[in-house]
Amino acid sequence: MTFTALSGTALLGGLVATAAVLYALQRLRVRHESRTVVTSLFWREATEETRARSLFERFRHPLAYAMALLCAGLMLLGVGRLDSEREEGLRHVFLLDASAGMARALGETTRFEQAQAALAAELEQSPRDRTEVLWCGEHVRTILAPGEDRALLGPRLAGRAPDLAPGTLDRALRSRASMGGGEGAGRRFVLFGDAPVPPSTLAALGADERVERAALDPPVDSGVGITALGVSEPASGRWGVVDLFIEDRGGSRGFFDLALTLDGEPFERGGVIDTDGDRRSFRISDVPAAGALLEVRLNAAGGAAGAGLSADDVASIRLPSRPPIRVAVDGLAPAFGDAVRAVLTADAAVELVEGAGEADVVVGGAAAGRPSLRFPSSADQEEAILIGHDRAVDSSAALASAVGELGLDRVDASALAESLGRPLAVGALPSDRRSVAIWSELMDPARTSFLESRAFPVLLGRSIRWLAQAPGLTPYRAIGRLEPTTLERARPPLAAMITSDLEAASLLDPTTTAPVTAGAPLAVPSPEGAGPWRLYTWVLLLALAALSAEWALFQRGRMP
Amino acid sequence: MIEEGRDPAGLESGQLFDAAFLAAAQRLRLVARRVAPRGRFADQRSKDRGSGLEFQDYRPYVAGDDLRAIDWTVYRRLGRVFLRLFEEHEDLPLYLLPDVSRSAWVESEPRAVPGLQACLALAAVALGQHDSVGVFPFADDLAVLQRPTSGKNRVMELAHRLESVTPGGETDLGTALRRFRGLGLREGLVVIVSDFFDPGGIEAVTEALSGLRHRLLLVQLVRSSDRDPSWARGDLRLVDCESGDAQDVSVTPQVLDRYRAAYDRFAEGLADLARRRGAGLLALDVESDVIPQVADLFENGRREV
Repeated sequence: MTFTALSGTALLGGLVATAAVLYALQRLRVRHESRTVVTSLFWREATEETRARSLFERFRHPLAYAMALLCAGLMLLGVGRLDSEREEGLRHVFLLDASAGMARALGETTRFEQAQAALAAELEQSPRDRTEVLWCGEHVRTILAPGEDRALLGPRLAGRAPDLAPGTLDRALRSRASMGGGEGAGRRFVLFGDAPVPPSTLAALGADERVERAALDPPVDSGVGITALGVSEPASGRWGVVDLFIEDRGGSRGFFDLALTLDGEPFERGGVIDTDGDRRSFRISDVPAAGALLEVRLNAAGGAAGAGLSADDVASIRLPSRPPIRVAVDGLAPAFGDAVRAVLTADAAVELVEGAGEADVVVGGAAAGRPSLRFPSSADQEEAILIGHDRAVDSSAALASAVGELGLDRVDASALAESLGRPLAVGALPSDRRSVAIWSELMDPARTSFLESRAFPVLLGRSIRWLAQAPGLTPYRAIGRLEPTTLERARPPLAAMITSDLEAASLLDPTTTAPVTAGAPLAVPSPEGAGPWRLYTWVLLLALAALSAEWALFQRGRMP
Repeated sequence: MIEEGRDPAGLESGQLFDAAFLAAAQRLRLVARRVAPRGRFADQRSKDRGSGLEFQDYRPYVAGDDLRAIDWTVYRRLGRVFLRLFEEHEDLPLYLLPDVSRSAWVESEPRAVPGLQACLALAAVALGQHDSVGVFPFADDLAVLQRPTSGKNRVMELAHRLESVTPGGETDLGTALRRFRGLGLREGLVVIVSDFFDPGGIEAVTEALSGLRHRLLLVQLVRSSDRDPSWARGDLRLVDCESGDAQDVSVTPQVLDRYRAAYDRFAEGLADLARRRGAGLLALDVESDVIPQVADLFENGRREV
């Protein structure tokens, strides 16, 4: 049993002060009502007897004083909000869900405003010195520290809207739980929002910690919106195009259709459609990768589309720009040069040009200050393959990365070493511009069969791409999804990545689009005595009864 | 009930009595147990033997007795001389002293009205029996409203005089009775009609009456709220209507109990005073009809004082 609005000391002090004030008032001169009487003879005798028998001459009505003290004390207890449900020393952590899902409109208000109202009501019943409030938007931060006046919360939340990001409620809860409770009196986490809390987080809480979710009105959103948008390497293998991936919820129910634009121009969707329950996905092949802005928007069907939450009604992504790589081939032996030209001609990403001045990459001849793929003699180069990398990169790291990027792992180095009769080594050196140097002996058909192996076009094609620093393709970004091949496996939310390097700020996690509060594993507690009939409510009623009794006694002349 | 700020006024014409009131008063008979030796002949009967008209007793003859009173029939029959004694009838001077102090007027239903009505009733009876009646209203002093006079046709005149009574000041019974004794009136029946709320208490009333040689009848004007002030609650400043003295009182059940005890002591002291003086005492409820209460004074139509 404790007081949620006043500390026990403050309440005791208040009671003492009230008693003192009432005592002083009792001793003050009474303002009498003047009445004319036929004679004051008998009244004088009656009051003279009173004076003679009174121990405290001016403190005349101890019972009336006790009654007034009872009334005042009960009212003070009511103001102090005596509450048996709050353990002494319990710390309260209120987590305000400020994710995009809280922007969901509910008639005249929003989910976020509902949560704020519930938070304010809960703050009124919580001890100031043991209560803190966390903002759980894109980032977690404290917006009301323990001991701060609750009146500060209003100005701090004024004009604030939920962040266009998935919720961090679970992350904040796990973070606070890992920090420990401090004094060991236990902690009470109260969630104001719809973000789910996985059972693993609840299991990680201490024995003296509990999580409650503030009771809000049930969401009425239909749960439709765009949940994923991204690009991937084209299945056709063509250069300069990407495959587009779109996922939504609610589309299979016919609530809406999708409208696509490319740099503002309508773009026919087409593609393959998969439906998995409420989830619908599109794969659109060979979308031109020319750096255009692709926007996907809900196309309302009957006005129901996007009801409630508007943040997931539109999504956009800047498609990659993938122009062909211009390559100049020069200075190679005729047979070897023909083999190289044949491979490069077959590569859709490469455009052969004459002269190093127009080329992005030079193969064989003089580099002329451009990235180059050279074939020096083993007499001129100790390593069989020497990589010149950016000076900003460590050579070991560059070498380790190049093994995969250049396709070196596809090369049968043992067979080549045996053919040449000497070991093969791979080295890396910092350089002003990228370069790849491969022994010319490896390309000699008389000594090795490398030109005829499957590794040669791979090595050549990847080297060209690495040298040209062709921009890597960032696949689709879908919250809770891994990119791009292991779609089955969930991973932690990518909230921080959404607005960083992709212009796709509208992507949300599926649970934001479709509220899952009803199915959340966290039950909303309903502690005994909660609601309008807390203990202090009874105290206030008792105070009211005492005041009524005092009035009735006064009316009957039983009290002065 | 006292109306705050009420300015006591006198009586209006017709407020004091009416025909029915006077008719009822005529049926009353006032009998004096003893009267003074002086005075004129009247219809009043006395227990003193004398030369009246109605036989009362015999007594042996002694030298000097009036021979006309000898009953010769008895002498012939018994051979002894007896005198016939007759009841002597004399008048009873009635002195009415109504209290017209401020306390009798300040209430919304002034107790002076029933007090003066009682005076008029008693006066009507006395005048109807050829007794003389004098009226002397008093407050802090005594006034002579009507000197002792007799005659049945004086009732209306007396009524008009009583209606002309105006409120007085503070009650001072001692001063009033001293002034009354100074008038030198022959002994009679003094009727004091008052609430007896003298600022000096019952002691002052006792002292004031101590030097009075007349027969005495005390008519105490009472009201139920005198003993049970149901209006009193809370913190009050009680202002005496006569003296203006203020008394701060926080009314509690205990204070009310003590108030009632004080009033009872006063009433008991007044009754004890009446007993010691051999006087009559009538507690006249000013909230009830006056005539029936005055009639109760007389046993079977007679009242001995």
